Amino acid sequence: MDKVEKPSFIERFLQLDRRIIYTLVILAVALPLLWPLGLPIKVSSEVQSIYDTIDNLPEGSNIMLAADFDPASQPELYPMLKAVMEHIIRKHHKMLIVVLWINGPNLVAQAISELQAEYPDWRSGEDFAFLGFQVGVTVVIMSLGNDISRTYPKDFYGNATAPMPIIKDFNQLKDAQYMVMLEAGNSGDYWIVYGTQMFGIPVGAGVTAVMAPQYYPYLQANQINGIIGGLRGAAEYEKLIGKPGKATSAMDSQSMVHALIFLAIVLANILALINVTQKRRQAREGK
Amino acid sequence: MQFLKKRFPVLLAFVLGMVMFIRAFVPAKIAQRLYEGFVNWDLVILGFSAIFAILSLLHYHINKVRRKVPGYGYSVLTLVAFTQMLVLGVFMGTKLGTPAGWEYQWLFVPMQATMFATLAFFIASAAFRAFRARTWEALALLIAGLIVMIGRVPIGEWISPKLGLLSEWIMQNPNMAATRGVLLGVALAQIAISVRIIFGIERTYMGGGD
Repeated sequence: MDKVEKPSFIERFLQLDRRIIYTLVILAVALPLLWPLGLPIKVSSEVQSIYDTIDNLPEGSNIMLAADFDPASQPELYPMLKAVMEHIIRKHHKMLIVVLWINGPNLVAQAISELQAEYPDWRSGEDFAFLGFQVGVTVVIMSLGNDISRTYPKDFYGNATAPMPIIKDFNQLKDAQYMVMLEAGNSGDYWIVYGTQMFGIPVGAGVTAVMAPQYYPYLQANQINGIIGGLRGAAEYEKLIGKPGKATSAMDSQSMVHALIFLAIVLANILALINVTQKRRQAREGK
Repeated sequence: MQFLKKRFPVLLAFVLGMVMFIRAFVPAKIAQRLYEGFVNWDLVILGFSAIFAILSLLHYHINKVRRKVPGYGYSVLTLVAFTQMLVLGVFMGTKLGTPAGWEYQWLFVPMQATMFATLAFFIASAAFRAFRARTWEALALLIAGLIVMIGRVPIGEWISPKLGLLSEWIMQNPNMAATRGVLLGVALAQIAISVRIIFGIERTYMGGGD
């Protein structure tokens, strides 16, 4: 009967109990939240470009804001939403907000009520209108190109949109001087194809980190003029508006988790390589 | 009956598809009005399709409960959650501050966030166990992945500013080239499938059976 070979230290290490890894992840997330490291955040050109566009528009310009995400992407996109909205408010631009995801409107409503507490003069119907959710994605976008108040006869709060002062000068997608879309799925593609490209509106995209790579072809083709990518992008925008928020405070945690995964992959690969080399040597020596 | 089930949908797809296609090249006002009319029709149809989706969901779960399929308890939970949310939403609204809004804010949001947050644990564990450079191609992927992962967070730039620049270069060049290839492939496939539907070659959208 063959003798069962005892696994080596390396083999045992490569089969490390996943609970140890989970514990390390918890520590990597929690410790920097308790004791921030204050790592510097450098602003990328993609984020700077969106900030500059909003900043350089003449006061009172029309901006369309699409918040197409739900609570699953809230940690990344909600700080982005608040930072972009606050920037628009400070610059006194007009803003229409639409949501193409059914579970998103209440998140936007929450952001609006938080911002209204800070900016009491920022009025619904005059400075902004929150149009809420409408079923249909592509068709909604196409319909916004025709007539916004017909697509959304009532806003999220149940008020008729047609008599709103903001709608008088902003009743078609082409009336927007700029658009920012915050996307957790593929509705961003539809905004580009059926909305902004058809009417020649410059657009900036705020997306989850996992989606950011998909948007680089649009950036290079000038179909979007900037990308706010994931929590990092949100933290960069918070830095630009000079108001560190949730994204900034979470950046240290994200840094630590990335570093942990980086080390785990490197270590596992080195150990696996040593293990394979040892086994080959043993096989050659006929052990 | 056979005409309504098999030929009429194909005819409808052909006529509407061709009209919408030709319309895009006609700058006349009538073409714009036609387009607006179709878009309005689409909105109405989509409203009905949402009702069908709900009915389909209910039908699926009610059947599971009736037949007591293993795990039917989850279907009971789905039906209870659906019904109470529907009743609360229809009679008391869905905004924040209403009972349905409360459920959204304090049940739905934390549950979805939890589901998403658990990914970090699975990714860390899977990365340690499965992300191995067994071939040269895998090694290239691994190195690129590691650089992007560490270069896009502040700690990477703190270690070396070059990591950030390298990560940016990977995103804007090799990544973009590959993504563009995928996007072009998808776009060509969409054109091909649209042509097949318009000319009645592709009929799977009508469903199977008699």
